[in-house]
Amino acid sequence: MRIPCPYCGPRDSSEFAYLGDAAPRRPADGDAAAMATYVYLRDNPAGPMEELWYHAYGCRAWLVVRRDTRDHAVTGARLAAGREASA
Amino acid sequence: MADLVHRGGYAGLGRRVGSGDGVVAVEQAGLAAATVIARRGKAEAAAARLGGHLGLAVADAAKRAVSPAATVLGTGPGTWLVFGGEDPGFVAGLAAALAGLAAVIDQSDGQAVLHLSGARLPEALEKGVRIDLDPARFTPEDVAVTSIAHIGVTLWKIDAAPTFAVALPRSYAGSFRHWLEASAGPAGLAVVSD
Repeated sequence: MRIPCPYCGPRDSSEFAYLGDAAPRRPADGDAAAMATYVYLRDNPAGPMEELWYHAYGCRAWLVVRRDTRDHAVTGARLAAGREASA
Repeated sequence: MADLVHRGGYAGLGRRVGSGDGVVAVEQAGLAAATVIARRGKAEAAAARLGGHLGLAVADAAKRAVSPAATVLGTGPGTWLVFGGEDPGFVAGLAAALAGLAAVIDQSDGQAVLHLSGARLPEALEKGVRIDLDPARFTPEDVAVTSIAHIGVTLWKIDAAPTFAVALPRSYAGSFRHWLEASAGPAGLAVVSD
């Protein structure tokens, strides 16, 4: 599997560390139910999903990678930095 | 007070393995080196200031900018690895120029640098580098941070001969040298270091 790093170009997935679903957002402190959901509950889609990958053996940036869970087709990647501001 | 002498990362590993007909590796000892990491939101300003200080056009990209006095390598978003000559004030000068825009960390004793050349270098690099080094795709303007034999390296190209340069943390120099001997030794490898 090859990941198109926006800084480095296409790289083998062995250069990356995987975190998981990029969708969850940390809720405000004090909301225990929302925090439990944030920590424990994950969707398990069969199809494209956005995930966080860390380019450990490259530019050391976190990426949001769009990957199809059925065939591992990677259809896009962008830097995770600044995504809160642009979301 | 003790008189400290710079000792390259490959020093003491032995000078010569083979004929050098295939690949020649020459250690670049004594270079001043620093990482420059832009503060949040200051990547463009840091690139401009770094370029202005060194008289180079520095981009926030995986590109190389070079002058007789310095080499600037883009290693990540808002991050550069900068090499100078043997000027002992090089890193302090960088830090002063980039005050408020970037963190400057001295790596002069942290990085080990080899220059690699030779007719059979491409086939040796193929055994460890998992990126496309075809001359049309990887030019002397490009920089790659990647891994060779699980060792994190910064790789760039000095000329179209081709001559490549490899920088890595100096404590990995022995392991890298082992990979180099295994990969380039059969082609005829010579290693030159202190």
